[in-house]
Amino acid sequence: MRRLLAAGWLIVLILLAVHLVWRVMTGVNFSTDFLALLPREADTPLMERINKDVTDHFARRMVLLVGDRDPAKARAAAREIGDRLDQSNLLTVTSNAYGGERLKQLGALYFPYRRNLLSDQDRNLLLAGRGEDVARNALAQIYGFAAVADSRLIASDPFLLLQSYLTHLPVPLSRLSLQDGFLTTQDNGVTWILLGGTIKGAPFALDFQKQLFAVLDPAIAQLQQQSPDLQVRRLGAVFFAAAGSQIALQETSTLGTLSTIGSALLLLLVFRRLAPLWQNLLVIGIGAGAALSLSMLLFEQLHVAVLLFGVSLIGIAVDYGMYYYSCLFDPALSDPRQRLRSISAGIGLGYITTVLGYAVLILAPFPGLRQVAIFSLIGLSAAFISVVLWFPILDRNAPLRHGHMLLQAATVPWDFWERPLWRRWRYGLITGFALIGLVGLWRLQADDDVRHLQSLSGDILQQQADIQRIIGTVNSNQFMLVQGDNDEEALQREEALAPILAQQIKDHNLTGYQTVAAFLPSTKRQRENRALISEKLEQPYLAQQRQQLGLPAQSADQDAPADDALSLQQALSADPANQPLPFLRELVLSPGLHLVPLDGLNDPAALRAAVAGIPGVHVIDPTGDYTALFGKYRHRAIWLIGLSIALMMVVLIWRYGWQGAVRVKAPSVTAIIGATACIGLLGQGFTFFHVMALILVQSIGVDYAVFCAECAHDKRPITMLGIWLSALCTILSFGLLAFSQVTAVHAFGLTMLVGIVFAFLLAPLAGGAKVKRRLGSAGPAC
Amino acid sequence: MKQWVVLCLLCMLGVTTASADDAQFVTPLKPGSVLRGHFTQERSLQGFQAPLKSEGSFVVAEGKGVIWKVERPFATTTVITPAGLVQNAQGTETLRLPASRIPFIAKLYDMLSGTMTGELSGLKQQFDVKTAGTAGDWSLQLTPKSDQTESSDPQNMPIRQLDIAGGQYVTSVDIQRQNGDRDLLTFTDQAIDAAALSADEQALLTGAKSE
Repeated sequence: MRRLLAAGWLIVLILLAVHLVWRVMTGVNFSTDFLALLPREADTPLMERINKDVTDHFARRMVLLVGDRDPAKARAAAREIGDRLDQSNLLTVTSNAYGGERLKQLGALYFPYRRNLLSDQDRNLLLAGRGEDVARNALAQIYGFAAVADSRLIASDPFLLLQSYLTHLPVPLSRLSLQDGFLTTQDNGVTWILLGGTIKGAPFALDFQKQLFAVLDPAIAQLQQQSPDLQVRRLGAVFFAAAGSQIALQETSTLGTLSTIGSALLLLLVFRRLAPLWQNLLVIGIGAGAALSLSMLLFEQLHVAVLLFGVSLIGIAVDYGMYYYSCLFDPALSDPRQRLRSISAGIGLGYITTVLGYAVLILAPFPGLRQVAIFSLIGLSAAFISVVLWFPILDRNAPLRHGHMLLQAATVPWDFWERPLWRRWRYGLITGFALIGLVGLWRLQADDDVRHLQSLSGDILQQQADIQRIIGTVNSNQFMLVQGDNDEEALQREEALAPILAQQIKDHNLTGYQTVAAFLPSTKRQRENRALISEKLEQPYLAQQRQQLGLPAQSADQDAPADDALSLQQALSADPANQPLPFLRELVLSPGLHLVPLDGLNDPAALRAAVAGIPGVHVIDPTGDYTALFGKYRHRAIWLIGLSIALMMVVLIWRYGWQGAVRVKAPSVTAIIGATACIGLLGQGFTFFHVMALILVQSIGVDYAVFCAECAHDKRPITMLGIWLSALCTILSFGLLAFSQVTAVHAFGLTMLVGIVFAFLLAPLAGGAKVKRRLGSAGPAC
Repeated sequence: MKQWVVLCLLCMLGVTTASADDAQFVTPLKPGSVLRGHFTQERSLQGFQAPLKSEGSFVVAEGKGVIWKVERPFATTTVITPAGLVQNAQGTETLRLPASRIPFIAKLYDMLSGTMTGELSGLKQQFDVKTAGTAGDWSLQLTPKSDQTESSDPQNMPIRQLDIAGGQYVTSVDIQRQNGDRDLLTFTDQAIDAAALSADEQALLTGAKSE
């Protein structure tokens, strides 16, 4: 029967392996978008769609700055890189450059409507009835040093209203100027050229990143060989994502290798045999392979973070094998079946409690974490089944005789808790730890800011800072949506927003923004302006102004201003290739729905409060939304820990009764509290990822406690050795994650490291629990 | 806008006329020293009854900036520093352009009023430069190269001719545009003042920086 089951399990695994091979052959697609691990939430489906569209659009923007001390070399390099990107068809190059042609079009668009357009400064002066100031300002410029307006311009616009309007237009990238067809600026003697565009693939897709870098990196390297002075700065979600996935993949291989080698060495040293090593590796391989194979069947796309946690799975899957093989040191157990029987209650209960601990993760409403939970459950179950079915068949070992020293050493923690000799030390240590722990808990502070979780290498942040310094802006992902029944209403709402946003900039809550209305005032505003100019400026001062300038009383007919208002359609319907205001197309999402990109927003809540009075305005802060979500789910995860403790207690009370259950649960609960205190002591912000690790700490901690509780007095050294080995392997895999550069993974690893040490050291305290009920036919262990 | 840059540099007796040959006539200002002088500006605009005349004084503080004080017909002070341009008329700030916006605005003025385009260092690419005279009495005549004037659109090269004359200092700049407008600047009473800037001047130059 047992052999039949073992053979059946082999067939199942072969099928899974075939599936896995087939999937790998046909191409595996892993997702690397860490925010995809979180659910998206928004007020309404429409807003959600727009939110996603705009966020996706922002995420596809990419900027390269190519710099060289020699302007000619910078231009040549920019041309070469631009050409290669163009040919690669990976990027749509966008240009908001203002060169001669486009400026002429801008002038042609506005000039006929010059009596409808007022800069804020002039408008405010006219509203305050200070028309003579406007007139005087114009004279000051005409006579002054920056006397640039020519005769035709002065004659048709003697108050220089259009010049003032154009001068104050918030044109994007105004720090750059067009030279030889390139957007160029100088910084510290270096000529920088901007190449911008929208990538055509998903920034988080690994294969797209590969394609892009296959074009970009060789081009830059080649150019740098020709001119060592050449510098390139990059900005865009695709570069952030690539850096992130590179770290993740790199760490998966380095940390995975370290963990495997460490575990292998440990087993070789302890058992002095190959069998425990290769059989444990087999179990790990089966666990990981089965998990990967089935997960690919269950989920459309696996996340790279799931892979990272898959590495960690090794640490737990190895527990059962470890516990089994520690029985080799027991001379009383010569037969593999006896060995299995002796541990079956321990690993059985351990498996059940761990399954409960992991299963709770499925309740976390994060798609990625569900993947992790299911991935782990599959791997864990496959490993467990393999140990139970195959180890007795594979095990050909006679009891080992070299373990005296090991066994003695293994029992040290147990002795520490029970020997009267250590009594004072125990109380001292407990008091000390309790005090330090209290300090840690007191210092503990939650930190849900999603930006702190992005572990960006200093290099990429430096590049971002450089670009910010050189071109004066970086793409941010915060924006507002202004909704109206039609464009006119949306424009009017933006005009109502303008003074509020100006105040926000003054209050240093914002560094900049863009609205359609700044380039195209509403018809209502244009009419107001026309009336203002006529009443407050031309009627009282025009004759005087013309006289002062020595102009004839009438201007030439050819420059007569238009009577109607300039419309948004007029601006947008211009030839797309020669748009005077190319960025307006991006800002007008649909008629009556306008995008207002925000720069350098500090406090979205304050902005939301400030604009609350204007209908149809929504402040969208994806980063803030994710931060809020992280907070929400951190709270939820803490409840999940409570829930999993309750679920486990049901099993433990059934087995050990109330008192025994408390004894068995106490070590893992203490481990959770200890690890939490340690996070506080280290001054780390307490995040969702710490909490997720705590869930695992208590699952594993309960394993150890159960092994101790299930163990007869004389088998304690054997059990403790098994726990030693398990804990060391767990630390080698999970604890190593503390060295990850990915903040979230580091938080997870550190919590595991501390928690497992506590759980291991405290596990013998569960030894006093008495078994009340039996598990099926299996007797109390050992 | 480019115009003031040009003038600014010319006032600084710059070697900025782009060629070492031309630079032999002018002595660069030593860092830290201050050049003061008087100017008159005459703008002859097409269709205007009379030239727009203004006069006043200027201060060039090497490495710090330029103060351009129009005294007649009415007081206007323009301060140009690396941080940008600030203009005051009768005690009220009438214009403030941070340097960060100047590239765009420079282009804007190219379009609006059509001053010269292209980089200063590229002057010689766009102009034929004729030099005459001696170190004590020299003149430069800049005319657009033939392919520039043949360009179908006069907006691209609005300057018809640029005449600069001087001895120890630049004494006159005459800008003639394609559309017939003409600016004539004459500089007199120029002297290098070893003394530091006055407190007022210092305040103007630093005030222009702060925003």
